[in-house]
Amino acid sequence: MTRHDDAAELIERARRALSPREGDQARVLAALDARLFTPPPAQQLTAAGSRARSLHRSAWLWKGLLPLALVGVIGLMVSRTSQPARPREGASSAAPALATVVQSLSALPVGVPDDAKPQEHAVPAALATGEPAPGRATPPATNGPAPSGAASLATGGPAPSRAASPATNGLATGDPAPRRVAPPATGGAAPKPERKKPARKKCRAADGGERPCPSPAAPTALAMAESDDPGEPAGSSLRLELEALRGAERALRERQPAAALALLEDLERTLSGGGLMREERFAAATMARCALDANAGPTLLQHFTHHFPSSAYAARVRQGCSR
Amino acid sequence: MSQSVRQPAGYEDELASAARALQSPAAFRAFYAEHFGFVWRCLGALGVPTAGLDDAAQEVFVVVHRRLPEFRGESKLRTWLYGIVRNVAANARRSQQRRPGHSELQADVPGAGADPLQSLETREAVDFVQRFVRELDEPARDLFVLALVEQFSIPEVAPLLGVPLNTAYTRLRALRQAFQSALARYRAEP
Repeated sequence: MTRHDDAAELIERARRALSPREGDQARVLAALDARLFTPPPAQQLTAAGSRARSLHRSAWLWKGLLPLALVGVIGLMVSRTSQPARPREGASSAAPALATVVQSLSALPVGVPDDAKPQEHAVPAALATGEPAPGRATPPATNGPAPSGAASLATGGPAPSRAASPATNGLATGDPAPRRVAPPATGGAAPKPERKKPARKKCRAADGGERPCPSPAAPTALAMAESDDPGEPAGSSLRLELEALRGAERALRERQPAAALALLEDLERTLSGGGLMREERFAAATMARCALDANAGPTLLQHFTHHFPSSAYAARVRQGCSR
Repeated sequence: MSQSVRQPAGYEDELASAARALQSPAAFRAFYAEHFGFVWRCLGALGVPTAGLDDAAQEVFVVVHRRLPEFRGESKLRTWLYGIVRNVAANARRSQQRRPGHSELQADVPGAGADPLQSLETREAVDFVQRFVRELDEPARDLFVLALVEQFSIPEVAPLLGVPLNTAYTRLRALRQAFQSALARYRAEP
């Protein structure tokens, strides 16, 4: 086989493996339907629309007053620098003006309607009532408190959007927006003002339970194996595992279960119980043991299915152990 | 770049397909069914982890739904779609990098009854392709995914890359050689 054929075959194999499996298309479509085509209830739309309009007005208030205040500050500074000969007089005359500008700056939010002041809370509140909004939705954890609309999201309702700045006026347009199907909320009805400290992430363990994720300072063998540099130790451990498994498979095909078992036991010793392909190793070792001792087949099979009840290799192991 | 301005052959059909997709949810679903496989494969080849494929695919079609009215038939519909896929994949990869400690097997678990050796080789193939793609710069990555994985013709890919046809052919030849060399090195490693 030429290098070209070899490369083409590998790409084709990767292409097949990357293709969607049965159920992928329907699953994504269901979620997509909920995001794109499930209309929010009309009553909620009306309430949310008025709220969004009020937000829109407050956005324009911000837009108008902020530049004015900035111009005032800059003008004050320019006037101060242009009168160096009379610092005392300038200072005394500028002080009230500066105080006025500072006061006007600090008073800006006072003129904004209540529902627009805490932006992070106001926007999810509006959205929680079903108002579609533009912008990319982000998970609540990165965006302050969980919006109460999350519950409706799970049932196909609208999704929270990134908390828009006051200048983001798309809220008032009422355009339908992309929605992200969020995980079901725990039920809170109103947004809470304080940010919650994100809980430590849980990783799924091999036995189906959950355990805390390893810290970045202590990378797992898997993480190391995924690193870009193929020369790293974990990469070679993966390679070692692959090679040994290949050898064991070959030995099994050539009806040399003892050789296969020896290879796998060597590998176990090297990896000291670690490695990425525990299930594959276990399956190959079980088949080798079954081939060596046919009487132990049912026990070995039971042992395997006990450890890996939903293994993809169960059928093959069953076949190997029931001969 | 005259090629990017010139309308590709069959662009009227493409426009019609895009317009149909906007007419009703049912039409959009038909459009989705037609392009889902392409989107899913490209996302995987561009390094989106298996666990993130659902979200990324959703995101692609949400953006498509929003931007379909902007499609003017200046490129093939799939090439245009690939532009969206590329951006979504880049975002997904970035968000994956922001989650240290999170890792997973890139290849999916094989189906029941699969030969362990075959599934290992498949996993190895996917892993090798994804690693190779990760190390490429963006134009080469696009060329690899579209021309070598998805088997697009070079006249279809060249407008997306913004290069003349001959340049695209030259790059493809170089890319093939680089891939073959990388594979030979990988196979030769002890």
